[in-house]
Order: sequence, then C-alpha cells, then structure tokens
Amino acid sequence: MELRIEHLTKQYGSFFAVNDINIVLTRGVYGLLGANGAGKTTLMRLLCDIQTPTCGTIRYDGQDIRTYGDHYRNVLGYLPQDFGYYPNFTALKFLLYMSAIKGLSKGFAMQRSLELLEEVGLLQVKDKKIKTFSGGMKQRLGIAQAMLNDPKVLVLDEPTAGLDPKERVRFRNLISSFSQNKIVLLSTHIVSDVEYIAGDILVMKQGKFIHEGRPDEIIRSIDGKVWECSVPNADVPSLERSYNIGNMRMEGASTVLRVINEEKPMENAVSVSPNLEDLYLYYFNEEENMK
Amino acid sequence: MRQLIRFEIGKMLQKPLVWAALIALAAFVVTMGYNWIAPGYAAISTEENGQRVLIEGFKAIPMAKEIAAAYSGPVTDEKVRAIVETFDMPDAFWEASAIDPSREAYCSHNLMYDTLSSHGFVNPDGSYSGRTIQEELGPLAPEMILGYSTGWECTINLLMYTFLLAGCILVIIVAPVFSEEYTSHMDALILSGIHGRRKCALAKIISSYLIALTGSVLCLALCTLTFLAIHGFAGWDSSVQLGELGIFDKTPFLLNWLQAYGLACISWLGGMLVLTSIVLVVSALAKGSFSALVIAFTIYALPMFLPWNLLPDNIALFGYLLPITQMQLMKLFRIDLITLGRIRFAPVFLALPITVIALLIGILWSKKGFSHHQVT
Repeated sequence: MELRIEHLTKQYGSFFAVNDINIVLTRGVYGLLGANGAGKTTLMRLLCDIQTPTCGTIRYDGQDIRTYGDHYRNVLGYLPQDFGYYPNFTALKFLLYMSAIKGLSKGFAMQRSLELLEEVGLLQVKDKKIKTFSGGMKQRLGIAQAMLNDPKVLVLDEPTAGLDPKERVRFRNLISSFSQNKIVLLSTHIVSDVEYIAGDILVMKQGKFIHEGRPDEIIRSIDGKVWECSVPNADVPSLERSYNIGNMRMEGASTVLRVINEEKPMENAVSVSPNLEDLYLYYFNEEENMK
Repeated sequence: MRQLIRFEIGKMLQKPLVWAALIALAAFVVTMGYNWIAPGYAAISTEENGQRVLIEGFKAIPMAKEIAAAYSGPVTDEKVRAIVETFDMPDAFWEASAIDPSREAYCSHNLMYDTLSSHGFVNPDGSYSGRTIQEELGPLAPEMILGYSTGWECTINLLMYTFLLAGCILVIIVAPVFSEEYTSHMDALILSGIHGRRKCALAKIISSYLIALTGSVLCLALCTLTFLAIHGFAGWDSSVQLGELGIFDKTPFLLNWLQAYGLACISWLGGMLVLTSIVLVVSALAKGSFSALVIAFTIYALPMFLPWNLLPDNIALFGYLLPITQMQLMKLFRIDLITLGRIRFAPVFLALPITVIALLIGILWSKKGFSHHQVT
C-alpha cells in the first residue's frame, strides 16, 4: 500500500500553493507541519481529489487517483479543516447520511455508526442535534465520519485546531487508535500534535517539503542551533527583536531564554537539545512574524 | 439511492424559510380559492319586491348554471340580443340601489350578460349595442359555444397565480441544493465519498424534480377537485373566448375550457420542470447559496417584466416559453396555431420538447457542475 506523489503542483495565477512535490507515503502516520499558507490544505485537497492539480500525479498502488476515481474514494477518509456538517442533523443521522455517501449498506451503516459513536465518546448524545455540540465533539464526529468506511488512506487537515488541551490530547489518542494499517496524513501547525503520534514528519514551506523524516532525524538537522541563556529582565525586549526566541522563563530578576540561532547568541549561552517546537520556530519564525 | 433521495428531500424541506414559504403558498391558495372557486364570485342580479337584489356565493352557482343552460350552444346574433334584452334591468332598479342607470353595463347581472357586456354587445346604459358576433368575436364566432364557464375560468386563473407563486417557492427550495454544500463546506466530505459525485448528485437532482412535480400535482389536484366539487363539469365544451373574466378572449383559434385546462396543465408542469432544471444548473455552478438564490430568482422573474409584445410573434414565442411567461398562460394563448407541414398545433405544445431538452440539460449540466466542483 503506497501513495506516490510525483511532481505535484497547484498554481493560482503566479502563486504556487503546492510546488513540484515528490514523495512516497506508505503505511504509518505522517505529520505535515507548516505555517498557515504553507500549502498544507491544498496538498490535502489534491490528495482527496477534490481539487485538480495544475500538473503532476498522485498514484495509489500504482493507479492514478483521478482515473481510479471511485475505487480510490472507497479507501479514502477525510476530515477537512473547515469540517462541514448539517446543524439540524443529529450525530447518528449525520453518520448515516455520510454512510450512504460512502456506499455502506443500510444495516451495516447503523452498526458501524453506533460503533464509531461509542469509540469517539458520542454515543450518549447520538440523538442530539450537531448544532448543540462543542468544538471538540464536532471534531470527534468528524473523525468518526472519516472512519466510517475503514479507510486505507486517512487525511486529517488541522483536526485539533481550536480545541482545548484536554480535547486535543483526547483527539490525538483517537487518531492513534485509528491509525493501524493505514496511511495517515495529519496536517497541523500545532507541534505537539505530531510530536506524539507521527512516525514521520513532513515540513512544508511555500508549497514545498523542506524536510522529511523521523522526528528525531529532523530535529537533528538543527543540532547546535538551540541555546539557553539567562539575561536580565530589562534586556528581554531588545533580545526579542534581535533573535528568534522560543520559551521564556522568569527567574527573579533574570529570564531564561531559549534562543534559536545559527551562532551562539551571547557569552553565557549554552547549547541545548532541540525539540520539534524549536524546529518549527527555526523554519517558520518569519511567517509567524509576518502574521 | 432511495436512502440518499430521502435524505436530500429531508434536507430541502426542513428549513424554516421553506416552511414559511409553503405556509404562505397554502394561505394564498385557501384565500384565493375562497374568492375564486368556493363559493367563488358568481353573482346574479335579480328583482325582489321591485328592487335589485344581488345573490352571491354558493346560492348563485346553481342559478348561474340555470341561466347558462338556457342559452348554451353556438353563439348567434339572436341569442346575444335575447340575453341582453332579457337581463337589461329597468332604470328604477338601479336608482333604488343608488346606481347611475347610464352605467348599468358595468354592474354584475349574471355570467351570460356580463360576458357579452365585456365584448361590446352592450351599451353603457345596459341596452343591446346591435353589434354582430362577427364584428365582436371575429371570423371564428359562428363556431363558438356559449356555456357555464365561470368555474373553469376561475380555476385556471387561480392556478395560474398559484403556479407563479409556487415558482418562487421552488427557487427557494432548489437553489441551495448544491450551492449550500459549498457554503456549509460539506462539499469536501460529499465529493470525497464514493457516491458523492454520481449517486449523491443524482439523488439531489431527482429529489428536486420530485418536489417540483409533487408540489405541482398537489396544487393542481387540490384546486381542480375543489372546482369539480363546487361547479361540476358543466360548460367544459364552451369556448374560452366567451369567458366572463376574459382571460383567454384574445385566443385566435377555437378552444374549449377542457382543452384549455389540458394545455394549461402542460404549460404549468412544463414550466415548473424547466424552472427546476435552470435552478439546478445555477445551484451547481454558483459560488454559494445566496448568489444561487439571487441569480435563480432573477432568471425566473425577469422575463415577466420584458416587453415581449413589442417583438414579432414568432420571436416573442421564445420569450413566452420561458418558465414564468409559460405559467402566465395568457401571452402563450394569444399566439395562433403553429403549422408544421400538414400538422397544426397550439404553441403550448412546444413546451413538451422544451421540457425534455431542459430536463436533459438540467440533469447532465448540474451533475457535471457539482462533480467537477473545486473545493475551496
């Protein structure tokens, strides 16, 4: 089971949302990390065949997904960033509707919907209208609908955006439990989401993958570029302007800064082991500042 | 597929706006039905104790039928003279009711007298004008039939307005069919499902046509059954040109009320199906539900305000075959029979091939528009 992406490009006028991407995805969880506007959502829509690429191909087990059509959609599960739903539908009715769209037989659809509602903790509220649900409940319903057809390819676009930490942890665990024997592509700009569940991380910037590999391998790429130093509190604002600062921790009259920089930023700075968050800040600090 | 159709029909009908519109239509049909069909506006002026008495409603219907029965059959100059002279009431009756006797022709007498009055057989003071049937009704006059036409005419008139309003409601129901999926971001989920592009799209299309057809048949059945229960079948063979309201008095070919009702049904059902096709295509191609609603409503309503009558008949005919003008009937019924080789047929029959073409375009184009939609 593989998803082979070759020279995939999506262009809007002179802007390249996705720019000549080549990768082969096999069984496992892939975390797609990138700032807003990096092209993650466009890539996911191309993978779900709901947008047409300007050029390039996506092949599932050797078959072009555009010509493979319904066969591909039969093994696809998708949770979009803006998860649409019908506010007046109950959770169960919504899953039954999605089951009909996914081609599940009526009897099996009911059984599978109830099973999934239990797994995502919504069985008690199956007859409540979706408009009464919290953000976390809606997202759990979203993952349930993506899992209805037990997909081989599961595409999750920023599934944890807007969730509180408790819901985020709960959601991450759900994804982990659903990810066996699947190609799972999970996009996010929340580093901790992928840190815990992704076997491989794809770092995307300006429509291209700038890094891909296991988390520890990718993190190693910024070895020697993360520093910690203690500075007087009064110096913090000027240092913030000059350096890419990660975490700050106040300790009385001084502040311990985590600085991401090519060179040692100051005399008392000591090199520390980088983590994914540092990696994110290293590559996306400019975008975050522009925002 | 049946399950998807049930879901789609449920989605279409569960909106508060749709219910408000359907209640408005029901209120319109009931209110106007009361005025036009049951008891209707049949009115008979008669004499009681030397005074003019106006009998209306259910009581007037059998009296009107009785008067019509006495004169039913081919219209002749003698019959016209007899009707006018029989029902021309003495001036004293009008004066007693504080009505100017010199304006008698403009007051209700009964359906026979009022029909002739509307055609110029009666002077303003109520007396016979002396005009012949050929002068007033044209060369077809000797073949025209007089009869009890009030029920038929009122029912067709009511249905005409009902369908014009039903068209607006159809736009409200069908315009969001595809476009609301784009607005609510459900398009991504539907289009990435195995049946999203074909079966679901087809279910939406079938549901839309089912709603249009069911709604139309219900309106037709409700009004027609009420009409038949109150007025009966009498007068079906009388000529539409001799109607009391004059809605088809400009029809340039012989047509009785039963034929006119049949043609009107073709016109209304065809108009509703063509409208459904147009709205489906707009819905599939629009960016969102609001723009789909505005565009569809404009396409539906605008032709009613265009001056088609300034164009030659053969060009204006295209305008008259648009859904709203088709449902209005009158313009379409004013155009003469079309000759095609040895066949002559009423222009309304053109609605049949147009409906078939519109159905094909509606199904194929809206399905293609939805399945090729780019999620944004």
